[in-house]
Amino acid sequence: MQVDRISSPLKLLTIALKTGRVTKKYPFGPPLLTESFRGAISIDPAKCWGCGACVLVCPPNALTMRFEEERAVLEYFKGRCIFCGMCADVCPASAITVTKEFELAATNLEDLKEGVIHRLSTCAVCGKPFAPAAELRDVMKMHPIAEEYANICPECRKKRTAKAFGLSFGANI
Amino acid sequence: MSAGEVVKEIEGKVVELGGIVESITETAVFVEVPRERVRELADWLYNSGAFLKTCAGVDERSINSKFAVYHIFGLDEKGLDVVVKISGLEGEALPSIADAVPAAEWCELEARDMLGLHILGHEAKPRHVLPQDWPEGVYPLRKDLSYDYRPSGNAEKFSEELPREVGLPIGPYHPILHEPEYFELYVEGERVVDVFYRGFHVHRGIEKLAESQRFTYKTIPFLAERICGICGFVHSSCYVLAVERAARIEVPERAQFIRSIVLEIERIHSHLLWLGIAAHILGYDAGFMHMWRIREPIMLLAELLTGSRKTYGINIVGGVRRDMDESKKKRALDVLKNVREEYKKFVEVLTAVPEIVKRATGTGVLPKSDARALSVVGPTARGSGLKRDVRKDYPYFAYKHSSFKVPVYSEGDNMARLLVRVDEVFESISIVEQLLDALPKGPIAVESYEIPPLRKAVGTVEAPRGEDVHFIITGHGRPYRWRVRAPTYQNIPALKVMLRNTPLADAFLTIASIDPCFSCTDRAIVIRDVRSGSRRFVGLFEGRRYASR
Amino acid sequence: MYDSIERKVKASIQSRVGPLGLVRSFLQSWFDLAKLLSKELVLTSYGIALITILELLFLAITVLTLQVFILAPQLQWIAALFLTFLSISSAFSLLRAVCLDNPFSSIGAFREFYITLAVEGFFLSSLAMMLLLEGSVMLRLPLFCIVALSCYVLSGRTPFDIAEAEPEIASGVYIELSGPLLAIATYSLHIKRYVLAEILSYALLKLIGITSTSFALLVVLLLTPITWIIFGVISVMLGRTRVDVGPITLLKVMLILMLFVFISMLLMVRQA
Repeated sequence: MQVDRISSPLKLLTIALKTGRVTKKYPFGPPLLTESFRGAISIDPAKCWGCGACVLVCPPNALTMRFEEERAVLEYFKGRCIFCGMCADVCPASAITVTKEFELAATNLEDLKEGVIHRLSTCAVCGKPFAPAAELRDVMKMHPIAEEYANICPECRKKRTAKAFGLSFGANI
Repeated sequence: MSAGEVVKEIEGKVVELGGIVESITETAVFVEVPRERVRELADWLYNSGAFLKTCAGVDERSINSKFAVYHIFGLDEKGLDVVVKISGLEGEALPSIADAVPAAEWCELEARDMLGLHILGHEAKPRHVLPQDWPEGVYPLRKDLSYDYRPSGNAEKFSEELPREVGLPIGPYHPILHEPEYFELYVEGERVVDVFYRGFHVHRGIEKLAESQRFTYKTIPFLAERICGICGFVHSSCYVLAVERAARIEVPERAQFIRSIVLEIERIHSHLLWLGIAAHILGYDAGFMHMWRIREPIMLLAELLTGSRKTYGINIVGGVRRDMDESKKKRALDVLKNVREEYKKFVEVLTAVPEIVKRATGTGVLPKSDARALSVVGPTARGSGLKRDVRKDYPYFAYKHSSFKVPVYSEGDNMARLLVRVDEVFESISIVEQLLDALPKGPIAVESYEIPPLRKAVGTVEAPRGEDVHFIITGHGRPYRWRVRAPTYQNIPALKVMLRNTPLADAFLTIASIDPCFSCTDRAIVIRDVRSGSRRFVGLFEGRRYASR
Repeated sequence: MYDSIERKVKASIQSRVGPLGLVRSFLQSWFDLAKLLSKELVLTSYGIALITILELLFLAITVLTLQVFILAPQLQWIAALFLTFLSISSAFSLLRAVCLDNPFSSIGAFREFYITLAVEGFFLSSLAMMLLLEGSVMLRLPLFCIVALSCYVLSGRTPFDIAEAEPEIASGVYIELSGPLLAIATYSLHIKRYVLAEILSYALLKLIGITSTSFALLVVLLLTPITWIIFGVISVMLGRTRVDVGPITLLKVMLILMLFVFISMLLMVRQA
């Protein structure tokens, strides 16, 4: 028993001899990743609808959508991204893919931001821009809607519906 | 006495005290009693063998114009939670149950700090959770305070008081501590005679954040996962468990299995981490290096199964997001087999190093009676002879499909807690193997679910450090109140007992032996506190000592 | 330089790489010292600077006298000089730590005091006997044991690095040193370890009985790194002891060995 107590710490040497050195050579060698690793995302602008589902579901608000005059910008800020992949799960157009990029350090904050710019279609009635053209196009692909109906902004659509409703009751408009 | 009879008895007692039983589910009983009688009920529950889990203060003024305090008790043998609610209008005094149940002191103080509740008996005690220069009259958890309110700091408010004996400051900066906390050890020579603790340096305001518009039910699991870096998955699991219980969502079996498997993998990695740290504290760096080398395949396995080494991100309300196919299962089993062999060989070496044995035995003793009074949880409790394990007492997820032992040692010293963790790793490996073999087919998440508002539920999960409690009151689109009680929160008051009469050299091992995770502990209410970024070492000699019990 | 090699060996036992590359395997410690010299110096009192520099000076003299003695063992006064400087230099770090206001530093100082107390007296007297006396193997063996044990204890490695214990008392005796001062103090520690390793090597020679002067120095110089590495390997395998446990055990062991010494001396006297 006493001998055991002294010899057991010595077994450390045998364990060390057997395992050798385990330090990996990264960054002088490949990083240690598995196939399930989730890194930064990449958005395919051609497929993106501009629907904003990813923006709704992003926990840290790394994906944001802002509406400017003639366009909508979907901005992806890598600094806030937690690499959860919810956006890729939710995207109806499968435009978001999760890459294995994790070496993302940059010296300039703006370098970490990526944007997808959508042209907004304008309303056939009032002329104001209201929704990304890509979204309209893809929604129409899924559900056949009359083009003239789809190209009207929600405000004008409301007015039109109210008018039609009133007319059917014989109101004088 | 079966669970049904126990419920009947509780009902009877509550009615006798003039209260009402709000609802009964298969895991919990929700009652409300008039506030003058709560101490009697608490006394009766405690003496019948219940443990206090936590208490949560809630601002219910938008519902019924009152503030409420929910005391959550747990009856381990029956697997039943008893949630006792008392309420009062603003300014009315609420009685404290801390003299009947000493474990309640901390959470009542927190409710007082955060909501401005007037709790009898605690008026004179200084601020517990908020820093000293927090403005008077501003209560973070009240609904009328916006989540991004930031007060300006005022350093003069920190009062200074000279200590009587040599106060040895440990922290907030100290090489051995991984997270900022402040212990002041009062030593005589090399013997610690008293300790003063001030924590909550890393308040991040998670509970308030969850109530704000930034978050919804869908995104909170990710927030919960970041409460702690080592046991994050436990928090997100506990949260979804509480929500699923509140909304009565039926989660598919396969998802429950996957959750249990990942939880056990987290337990393995956490215990291996802790064993390495314990070796490092005792000066045995080779132990640290080798233990973490053995742990590395587990981290890789976690990444393979979930997509990320630590913040797994696979929990959502209603199931999980990532599945396990046959090849992953096989690789997992291989990895676990190797880890078990290497771990077994190394643990023999580790527990034979004479210095480790001599220094860990007999130090940091927590007697069983103190452990019971303070309701400690996890390996801290199991090292002192209390057989408490949430996986057995309040079964959740897929644990009922596996069989495992709960290691209990009765000496109550650091060595006992170390050995508990050593044994638990073996048990966890065995659980994962059993569950992987029995993995049922099926979907991994529910298709859709509804969460009705104003339902209450308690979720408890066994974290590597002990029992983690989440209390949810559902709201519209996001919780109305989310209370997180991390296991370390419950265990820190026990440190005062353990550190008494310990040699200074082993004080650190004692502090580390409860496996403190201060990120878990400090998560409470205040939002993105300016304080949490700045760690000024101001002489916080408040002269406040915990009353000797 | 030996320190870098020791770190490489220790790292191997811990399954790590340690200092990376051929150059660094030998020169890492120098790189560290150079880096420390370039850091800023925060001085809380002038006394500690003075003490630190004096410590280095005394240790330098100790090394020189040891080399001279090995070359010319008949010069007994060199031995006395060497022993004097050795004992004074070990008091320096104690002095420095005690005069600081920092509680961690005081605790470190007291621990160093206990350890030194348990060992130093026996060490110096045994060393004196070993260097100056000729005796039978029976006498030389326990003397060698005392010297060997003391050399290990005084070299400040685990299990006896409790004065510096980084995880426990935030570098104890070294806590208030920074920048160039820390570099000097670290270098002093390395020199002390060198002296102790050399003493042990010489003591080994004495045990075996080789004392011809021309080869002695050479052999000692070759043996020293080996002794150093052996110390390093031992230190990896053990944890850190505690101030109320370690010194007392040491004291007991020393007393037993001293008993053997006395018995052998008595027998020697009887024979003569």
